[in-house]
Amino acid sequence: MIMDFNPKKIFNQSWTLFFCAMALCAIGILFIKSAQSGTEIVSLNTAWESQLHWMGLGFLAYFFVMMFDFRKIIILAPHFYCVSLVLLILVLLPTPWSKEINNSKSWLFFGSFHIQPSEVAKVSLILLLAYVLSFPKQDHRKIIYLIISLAILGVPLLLVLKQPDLGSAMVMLPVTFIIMFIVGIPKRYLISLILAGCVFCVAVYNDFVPGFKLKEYQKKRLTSFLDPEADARGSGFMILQMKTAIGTGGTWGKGYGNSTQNKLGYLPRNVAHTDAIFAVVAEEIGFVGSCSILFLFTIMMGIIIRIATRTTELSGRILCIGVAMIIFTHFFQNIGMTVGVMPITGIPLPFISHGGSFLIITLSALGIVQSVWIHRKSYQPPANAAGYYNPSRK
Amino acid sequence: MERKKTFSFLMSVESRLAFVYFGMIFGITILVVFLMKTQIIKGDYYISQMENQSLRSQHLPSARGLIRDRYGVILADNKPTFFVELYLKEMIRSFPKGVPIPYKINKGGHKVEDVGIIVQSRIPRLIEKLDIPESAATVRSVERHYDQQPFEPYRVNFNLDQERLAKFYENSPIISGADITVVASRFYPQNDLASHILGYVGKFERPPEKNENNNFDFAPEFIGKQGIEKYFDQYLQGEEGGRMIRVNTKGFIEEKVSEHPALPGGDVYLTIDGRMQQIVENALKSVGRGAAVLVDVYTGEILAMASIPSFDPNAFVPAISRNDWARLNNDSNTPLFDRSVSAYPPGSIFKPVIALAALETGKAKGDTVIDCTQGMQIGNHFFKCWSFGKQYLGPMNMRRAIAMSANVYFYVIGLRAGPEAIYQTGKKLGFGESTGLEIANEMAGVMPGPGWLKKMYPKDFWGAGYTANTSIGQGFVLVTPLQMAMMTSTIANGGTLYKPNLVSKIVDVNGQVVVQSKPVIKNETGFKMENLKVIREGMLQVVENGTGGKGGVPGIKIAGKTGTAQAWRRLPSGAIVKDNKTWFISFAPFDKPKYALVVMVEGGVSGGATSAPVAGQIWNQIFSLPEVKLGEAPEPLSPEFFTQTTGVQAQLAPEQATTPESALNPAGTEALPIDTIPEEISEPPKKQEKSGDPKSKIRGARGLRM
Repeated sequence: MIMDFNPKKIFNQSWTLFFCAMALCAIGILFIKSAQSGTEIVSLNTAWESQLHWMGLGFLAYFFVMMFDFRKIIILAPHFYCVSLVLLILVLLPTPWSKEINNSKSWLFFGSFHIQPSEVAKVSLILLLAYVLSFPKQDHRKIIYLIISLAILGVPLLLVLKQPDLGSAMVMLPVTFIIMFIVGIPKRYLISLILAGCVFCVAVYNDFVPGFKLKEYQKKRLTSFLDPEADARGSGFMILQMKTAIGTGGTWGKGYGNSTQNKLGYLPRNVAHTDAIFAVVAEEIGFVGSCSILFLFTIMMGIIIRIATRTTELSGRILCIGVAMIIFTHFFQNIGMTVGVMPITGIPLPFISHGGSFLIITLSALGIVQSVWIHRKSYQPPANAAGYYNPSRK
Repeated sequence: MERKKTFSFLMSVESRLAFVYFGMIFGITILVVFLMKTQIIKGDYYISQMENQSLRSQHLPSARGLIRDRYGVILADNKPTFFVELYLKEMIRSFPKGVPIPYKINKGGHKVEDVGIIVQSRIPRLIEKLDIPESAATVRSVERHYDQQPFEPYRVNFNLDQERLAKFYENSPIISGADITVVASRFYPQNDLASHILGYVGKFERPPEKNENNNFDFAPEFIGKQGIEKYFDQYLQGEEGGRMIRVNTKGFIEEKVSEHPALPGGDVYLTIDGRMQQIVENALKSVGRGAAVLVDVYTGEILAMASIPSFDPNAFVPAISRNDWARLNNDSNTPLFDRSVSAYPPGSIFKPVIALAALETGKAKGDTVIDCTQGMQIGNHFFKCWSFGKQYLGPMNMRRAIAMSANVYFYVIGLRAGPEAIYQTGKKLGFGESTGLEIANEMAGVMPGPGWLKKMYPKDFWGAGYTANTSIGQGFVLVTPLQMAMMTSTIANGGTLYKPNLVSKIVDVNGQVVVQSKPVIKNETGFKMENLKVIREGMLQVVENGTGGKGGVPGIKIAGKTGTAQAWRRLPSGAIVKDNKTWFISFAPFDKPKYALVVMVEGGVSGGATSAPVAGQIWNQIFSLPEVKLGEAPEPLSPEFFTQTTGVQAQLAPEQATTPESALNPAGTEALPIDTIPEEISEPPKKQEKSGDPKSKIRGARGLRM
């Protein structure tokens, strides 16, 4: 692997993807600064500076990762997976490093360095799936692969649910399912699983399932999602404030730095730069601005998927689609939460929300995608129109 | 075959990738749609939501206009008072996070925040920190306020002094949502001076319809409840101001969105001369219960009008305490009652009316002489003179009859003139109807006559006895001190009855005169000058060598008339005691009359012994007042000023617990003092019910049928 270490490879990356990522990070820093500019709390109003540091670190990781051949990275997938499981278990146990924040045990602190095991778990999940499902001569239509995939998903999923981190769970599920779909596991299995899952969820919500009890605040989040006005000052407050912030942005926004909802403190300070940052963005740059950011994400998704199509190897494709799905579900959930399409789940907005561990991990994931691109064995269109695949060019 | 399989496999992966990508695009489109819904379609809704929660309207209270005397001396003023106000919406918003907001079902069946519980947890801290009584902010009153005006702050009903104000700012914020407001409160610097005229203000109670709108429709703080404060409220009321401010979650002001300043009210200048009012009240206070009116004879302007005992209107600001109100209401001397416009029997002061009636109808002349015996028989009742059993007055002309207040003279000329003529004269002089003074509560009194009797008591019949009674101002006749003052003015000024006037001008906040009053003639009586001259000369004789000597002042020619009307009152203990209404009407200076003064004292000995000395002191002090330069305000009177008196003391009747029978007994052996009217009542006063109560208009006294 060390042999492959060649800095020149960096120049082969997809620069469009790089610029998208840069742009989004820059947007993030701008809006974090704006979101917290009104407060006197120093740790908050210099949040953008820490984000800048993390961005630097993150891009370092990004460049570092892309220099390695992804196939070699995948070989380490099981190791990563075990590490992530260990971390997930650690965070649940009362260790000196695990801290409970906001009723959930989601964080590990090693000195000043903190990490969220669920984030690591998501990436290690796709790594392992990519590794396991891409051995040659696998007929993915067989049910065994379904079971393997579910097993790989299941363990970290349950651990994540125990934290409880419903949001991450809601990311891991679609990621796995889409990967299964892409890989070729029969749709009928997937659909019936989804249906069974829905039934299960309804049952859990109504407390029919022993061992799976929704906590009060989680139930509250669901009900306030369905009807925020019902408890306008309690659980629905955040949703209403976010909607109000966004709504008052109008078409063109109030201008950078002018998010009054946020400034006046109606949008709770501690989330204004993390989970609710999109509300600040929407308030300041309006519909036009927000759609532009959505457009940017769309482009990023498109690039990643194009990379997936351009590579012939299933592992590469799984990696790409996995990363794309992680990023997509994150931002769909986050933005959806601020406009009221999704319940509040505490999921950050990729690149834009303030948060070091997530930023670094996401950028590393992008590094993996770039690695796929750089080291691709591209699909050569066959000489004749029928499109013959030349097995000798592997 | 294998190639095809793998190829189609590849292709299908690609199509799946495409499918996934389109799925993502679909997801993003949903987000865009929702964004559009929130930002563009429902943008206005959210804007108004935001305004709702962050915009707060603040009431900027206006200052009430001042009430001044004719020279501009302030009688009703404003001073700043400080209160704590609770902004309830913010208190609710800052309820601790995580703790569920308590709700309750309100009357309309809607779920609303239970303000009571929220506030209950906070108020004790406020009360403790500022050391204010618990009754100032009760949970119930907060709830009631929130039901009606949720957007208006709730005012803690306790006037903060400087010390508490400082404490508030030191400990700010004691509780979130609390702020200080300054209110201009009414303040009467002269305490109980002219309190019946000024009236008082009370809190303006907003009508029960809910004020859901968060707009500038603010209600004034205070509204006049009595007197000038009430009847000129529209001029005194300023315009309430308001301010829209944007607040952050903590309730701190971020920006002032719009402001509409308050406008102070206009000033009302009364016709009252503050010094004369002081003089009059000071003189009356020495006799306990009574009233006095001082008017300008040529304009009808009231220079002083007092009713004693009175009250301190400062007690009503901001709201009178229950104890004070009970005390004022239950006081048997009725301090809240304005005696100057209440009706009482006049007694002998009514005689000039009879004289005028007789003169005008030609039934008597100034030099008509009648022998004043000690009484005369009219019908089957013997009508006495006050001099019965004491002295024989002898034959006298009209002037002397007025001077000596000889009843028989007036019985005779009264009968000669006839009840109809007397009635017409009385009506011309304004009796039996209200004078039309701006502040109401004025009683009309009674001017009896045959026509009137027919209406009131159809089964009754006007006999000579009624005429006799009327001739000496007893029986059905009831007059107010104000009416007497106007009558006296009419006699003094040559026969023009003016409408009395309390307000000289009203000036708005910019200094513009919006109302300027002029004298209003109520009635040109048309009495002949020579007849009025007779009356005037008679009245001069009253003071110079008649029953009203004590009303005189050395160096000034004062004309007047005494009167003592018999009446009773019921004490709180249940006993009925004598409570004569003693009068002295006068005008001065005789040659060029300026003022007319009426003094009425309840429970006096007689007009000459009780009311005349009071009037004398008043005249003495009035004519020693320094001239006021045009455009300047006079110097306030020093305490030494009030020590200059005529030296004549007013006599008050002791409270005798006489039984009605003995009081009625014509053959009674009590020594009747000067000017007492003999009993002409043949029925015991218990039929008169509240005979001492000025509220009753009709005396039950009936003459005998003839």
